Amino acid sequence: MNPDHNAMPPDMDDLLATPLLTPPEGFSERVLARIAAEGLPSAHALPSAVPPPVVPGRWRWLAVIGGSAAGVLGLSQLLAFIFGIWAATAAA
Amino acid sequence: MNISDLLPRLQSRDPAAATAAFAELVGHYQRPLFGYLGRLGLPSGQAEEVAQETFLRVWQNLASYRPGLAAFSTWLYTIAHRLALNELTRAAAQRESPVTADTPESVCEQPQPPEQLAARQQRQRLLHALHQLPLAERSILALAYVQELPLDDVARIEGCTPGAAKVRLHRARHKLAALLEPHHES
Repeated sequence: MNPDHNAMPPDMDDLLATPLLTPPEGFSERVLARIAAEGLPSAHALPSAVPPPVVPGRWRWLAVIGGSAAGVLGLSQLLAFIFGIWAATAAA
Repeated sequence: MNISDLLPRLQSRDPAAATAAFAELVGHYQRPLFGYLGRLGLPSGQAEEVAQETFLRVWQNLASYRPGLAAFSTWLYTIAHRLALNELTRAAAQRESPVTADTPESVCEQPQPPEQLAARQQRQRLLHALHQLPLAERSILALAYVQELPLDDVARIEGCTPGAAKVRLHRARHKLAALLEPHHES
């Protein structure tokens, strides 16, 4: 019994602490048979032989440069479009 | 048994070493686990199913156990608690009587010495009284008498604050004491 308990008659405390059920004969063997059938879970498995895909350094730089260039190109197109509209409305 | 010593062996890649360590673990926890399931009101057949499933899930999920987050016993009883409550809820839905003929106390027909008979009758009385408690109160009472679980861990398993657990436990114990009064008519 844990120390927080204090309201129960002592014999009932003892009775509650006495197991009302006990493991049946051969219980451990049945559990071990089940885990043997299950095999080692993933926790025990060897680390995966296939490493996660890693982008090599130079390709990563190319990707960054390509992305930046595309961004700059897109922004310049947008500014040109806005300037075109402004120029057309100013001339009218 | 020190779980921190056992854990590396449990997580060993050698199946024989891992199984031997797990056998130690089952040997250590099986008795208190059955005690808990008995107090919760599961008959022996269902208790064995729940206990087997608990150990199987412990085996399958050893990788997810983090020693820094909770004591191993708290983790194990959390699994058992959920499985047992599912089982009791399912049984209640099927209108099965929780006290069935396969409880160990009710199967023995052989004559017994008077002291054994008295102890058996007392256990039957306790079991009957426990079954009259609402499941939430029976559950906290069942957990509170697991030696390895302090009240904080009981509260954690029950999903409430330690203060709330203490109140529920106090109420459950008073109700049980009243149910066990000699003049109490069930």
